[in-house]
Amino acid sequence: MKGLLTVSDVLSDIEFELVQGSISRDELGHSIQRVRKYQNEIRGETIQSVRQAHKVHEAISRQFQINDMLITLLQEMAAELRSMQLMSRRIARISRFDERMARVASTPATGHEAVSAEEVGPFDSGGLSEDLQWWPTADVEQVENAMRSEALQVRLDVHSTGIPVVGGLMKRLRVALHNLALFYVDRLARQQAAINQTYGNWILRLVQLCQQQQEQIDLLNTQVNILQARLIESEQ
Amino acid sequence: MTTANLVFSLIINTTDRADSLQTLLRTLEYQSYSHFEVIVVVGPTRDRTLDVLSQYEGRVRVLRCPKANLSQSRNIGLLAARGDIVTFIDDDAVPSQRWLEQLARLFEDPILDATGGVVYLIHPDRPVVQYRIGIISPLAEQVDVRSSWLDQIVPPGESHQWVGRMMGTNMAFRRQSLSEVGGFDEFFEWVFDDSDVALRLANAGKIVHPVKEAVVYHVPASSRNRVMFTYRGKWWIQTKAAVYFSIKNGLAAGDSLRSIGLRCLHLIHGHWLWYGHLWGEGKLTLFQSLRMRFEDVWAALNGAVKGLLLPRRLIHLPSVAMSETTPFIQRFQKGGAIKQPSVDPVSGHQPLLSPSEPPLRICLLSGMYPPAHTEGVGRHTNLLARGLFECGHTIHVITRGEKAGVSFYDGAYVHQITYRPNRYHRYQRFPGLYHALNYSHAVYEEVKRLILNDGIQVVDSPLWQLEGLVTTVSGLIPVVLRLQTAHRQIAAIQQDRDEDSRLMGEMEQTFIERATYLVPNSQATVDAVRQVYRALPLDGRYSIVPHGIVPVPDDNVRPFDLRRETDALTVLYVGRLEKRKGILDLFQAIPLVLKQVPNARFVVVGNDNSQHDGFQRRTGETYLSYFTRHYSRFTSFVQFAGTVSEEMLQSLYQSCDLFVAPSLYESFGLIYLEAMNYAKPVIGCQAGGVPEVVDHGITGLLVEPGAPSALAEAMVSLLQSPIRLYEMGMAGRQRLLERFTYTQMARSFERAYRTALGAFNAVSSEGEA
Repeated sequence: MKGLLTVSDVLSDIEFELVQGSISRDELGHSIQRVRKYQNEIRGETIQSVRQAHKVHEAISRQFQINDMLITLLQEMAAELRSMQLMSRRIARISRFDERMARVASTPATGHEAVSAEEVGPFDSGGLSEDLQWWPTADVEQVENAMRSEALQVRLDVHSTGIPVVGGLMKRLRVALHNLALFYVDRLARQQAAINQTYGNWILRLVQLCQQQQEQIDLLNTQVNILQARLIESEQ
Repeated sequence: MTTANLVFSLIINTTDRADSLQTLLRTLEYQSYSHFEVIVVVGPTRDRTLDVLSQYEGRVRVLRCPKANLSQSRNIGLLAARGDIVTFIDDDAVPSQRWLEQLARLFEDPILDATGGVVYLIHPDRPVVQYRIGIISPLAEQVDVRSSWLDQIVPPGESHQWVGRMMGTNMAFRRQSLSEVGGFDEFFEWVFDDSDVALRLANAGKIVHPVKEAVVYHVPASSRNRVMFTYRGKWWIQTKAAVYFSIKNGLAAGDSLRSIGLRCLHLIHGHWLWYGHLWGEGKLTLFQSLRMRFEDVWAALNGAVKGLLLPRRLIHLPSVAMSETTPFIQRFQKGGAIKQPSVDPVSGHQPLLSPSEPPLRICLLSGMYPPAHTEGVGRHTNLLARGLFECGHTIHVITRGEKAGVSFYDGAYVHQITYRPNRYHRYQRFPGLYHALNYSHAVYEEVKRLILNDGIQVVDSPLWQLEGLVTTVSGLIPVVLRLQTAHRQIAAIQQDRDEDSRLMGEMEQTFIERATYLVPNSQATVDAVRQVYRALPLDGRYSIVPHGIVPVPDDNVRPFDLRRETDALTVLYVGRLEKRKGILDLFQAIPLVLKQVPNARFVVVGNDNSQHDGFQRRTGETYLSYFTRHYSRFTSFVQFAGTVSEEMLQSLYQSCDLFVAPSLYESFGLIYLEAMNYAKPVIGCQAGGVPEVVDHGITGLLVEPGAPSALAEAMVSLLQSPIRLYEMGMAGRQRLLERFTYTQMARSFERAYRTALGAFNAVSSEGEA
C-alpha cells in the first residue's frame, strides 16, 4: 500500500461494501462447493443403487434433494442480484443528488454562465457512457460467430509427401491417424460449442441489458439537465 | 391481491397464561398493519384469562377448547377464521412492530402458501435465536437456526427429504391452503404440530417458505407441560409426538420401516442420555430419572401404535367459507394515532408517563452494555434507554455479544450481535480502524433488520468507536450522534501519533460532519470538538443534553451524620486507574491528607488500565505496584477494590463520606452525579464538563487539574468540616433532582430525535423531488 490513506478512501470502501449486499460471495461460493461435493458423493452411490432395483427410490430421493439445493442456490443468487441492483441504483441516485447540490452550492449567485446544462457533473452521458459503451456492433458479431458450431470445426489437413513408393502409404496412414484425432476433437468441439452457445447467449443478453440501461441513463440525464437548467433559471 | 386487501386472522391459543396474554394483546396495539382480527381460543383455564379478555370485548373473538390440546385449539381457531391469512402466535410471545406488515408483503406473492418468521428467545441469562429458516425431515430431524438458506445446504441426517418448517410461535398460512390439507393433526397435543403441517403442505405441492424477517420475541412462560427454566416437564409428550411424526411422515416419504424404527430408537436413546446427564448433574433425582425413562418408552409405544394403525385426526372445512371475498371482521385496532406507551414484554409493565405525541421507536448503539459492562458509554446508554422507556418509547439497543440473541433489560430490547472481521481487509494494518469499520458494518446490518422488522425511526450512536458510521454513510435512517470525549482528544493525552490513530480521528470528524444531528453532553464537549477538529462546522444542528441518572429513593440517601463520632472518614475514588483520570495526582495527595486527617481512609474502585494508557510501557509497573512501592507507608490506609459489582458500587457510594475524582479531562462526569445521588460532597477538577456538574463551593470543590497539593488541601478542608460535608452533600442531591435525572435527559433526547427526524425527512423528500 503506497501513500497515505484518506477519508475518501475509507468512504469509498464503505460504499463498496454497502453495494455488496447481505449475502457474501464467500457464502455462495462455499455453498456451491458443498453441493458439488455432495453430488459427487451421491453420484457414486446412485450408480451403485440403480443396479439394484429396490434402491431406485433412494436414488431418486437423493436426486430430488440435490435439485432442491440447486433451486435454493438459484433463489439466493437471484435475491442477491436484486438487492445489489437496488442498492447500486440507490447509491447512484444519492451520489448524483450530492454532486448536483455541491455544484449548485458552489455556483456564484450571478454565475449562471458558470454552470451550463452541458457540464452538469460526471454523470452526463459523456462521463458514464465512455466506459460502458464498449460494445460496438462488430464485437456482437464476433460473439455470434464464436457461438456457431462451425467456429470450432477442424478440417483434415494432410499434404502429400514427395517420397516415392512409400509416400502414398504414408499419406494413407496420416489420413487415418488424423481422422482418428478429428473424431475425438470433434466430440470435444461439440461440447465446447454448447458451452460457447450458453456463454454467448448470456453475453448478448447482458449487452442488450447494458444498452437498455444506457438508454435509460441518457434519458434520465437529459431530464436532470433540464431540471438543472430550470433550477438555475429559478435562482436567477 | 395487494397488501392492503389481505385480511389476517390472528389466532392465539392460550391456557392459564393471563399475564402473558395481556402483554401480547397490548403489543398488538402497535402493529403497523391494521387489517386483522384477533381470535383467542381458550383452553380449560383456571386463572383470570377470561377477565383479561373481557377488557377487549368487541375487539377480540373468544372461543373455547374443551381440552388442553394445541392442535385441536388451532383447528378451532382456523374454523372460525374469516381472514385470507391465518397467523398463529404463542400467548407468551410479542411480535415485532412490523410483523404483520412483513407477512402481508410476503403473501402478496400468490404462490406462497405458508411462512414463518424469526423467533428470538428472550432469556434473562442466555438469550438466543430460537428459530430462523428452520428445516425438517420426515424422520423428525431438524435444523432450527440457519443464517441463510445457504447455511447447511447439505443438511446432516439420514433423510432424503428436507422442507422448510415454521415454529408454532410465529407462523402464517394462506387459509385456503391450510384448510385443503385438513389443518392440524390433533394427535399432536403439544409439539411437532407445526412441522407436521409444513411437511403435509410441501407434499401437497404447496410452497412453504420460512424467512429471516417477521420477527417475534418469545418470552417463555410456564405451562401445564413444563416449568420454565427448570427441567421439570412432560417430556414424554415430545417422544410420543416425535415417534408418531416419524412413522406417519417417514412412510409417506417412502422411508423404509427399518430406518424409521432406527430413528425412533435414536429419539428414545437421546432422551435417556439426557435424563442420565441431568441425574449426574444433580438436577433430577434417580427416581425422577427412572420414571421419566419409563414414561418415554410407554409414550413411544403409544405413538408407534397410533402412527401405524390409526388415521390422522384432521378437519374438513366447508368450502363455502372460502368463497367469501370480503369477509366481515372485527378489527382489533382502534383508529387514530397510537399514543399509548410501550410495554415491557417480560413483566408486562407499562411506563407511567404518557407521551404527548406518538411514541418513537429508537435504536441506541453501545458496544458495551450492562449488565456485562456498567461503565462509561454503556452506562449512559442504559440510563438513556431507561429514561426513554419511562417516557413511553420503544427502545432497541444494539450491543456486542458472544452469541447473537435478544434480551429485554431495563426497558429495552437488547440485540447482541457478533461480528467477524470479514470486510475492509485493506485496513488490516490499522487494527483500530479495521475492527471499528467491521463492527460498524455489523451494526448497520442489524439496523437494517430492525428497520424492516421493528420499524425503528432513528438511530442514536455514540461517537466512540464509530459505531454508527456505516449506518450514517448508508443514508438509510437519521443518525443522532452523542458527542462525548473524542478519540483525537484521548490520542493527544496518551500521545498516540500512529497512522491508525490519525485515520480514526479523521473518520471521527467525518462522522460528526455527516450525522443528522448532534447531542453533546456539555458545552465543554462542544468546545473540545471544535478545538481538536479545527473549523468543524456544527452550524446549529446540535443541542446540549447533560447526562442524567436514576435518583435513588429518599430512604437510601445517606447525608453526612452530624451526630456521628468521626472515627474514620472514607474517601471514595471511582474510575479506571489511568493518567487521564488523575490517579497519580490522587496518589500524591493521599500522604498530604493523612498528615492532617489521620483517620481518613481511601477506597479506590476501578480496573488498572496501566497496560493501555502507556504507563506500564514507560515505567514497567502497574498503578497498584507503583503505589505499593512508592507509598509503602500508606498502603494500610488505601483499599484497592478493583472492578466491583453494580450493587457493591452503589453500596460504596452510599457509605462514603467524600467522593473524589481528579480527572484531567472529563467530557461530563457521570461519577459525580452518582455520588451526589447519595448526598455526598464531591471534589473534581476545573476541566472539561466537570464545572457544569459540580457547583464549586455549593455542591463540592473544584481544583486545578494536575495539582496534587491543591487536591489534598480541598480534601482536608472538607474532611475537617462535618457541616460542609453535610450541606454540600444535600445541595448536590437537590441539584441532581432539579437538573440531572434520567427522565429529564430522556425528554431532551426525545426533542433531539424529533428534530433529526424532521431534518432527515426534509432532505429525503428534497432528494426525491
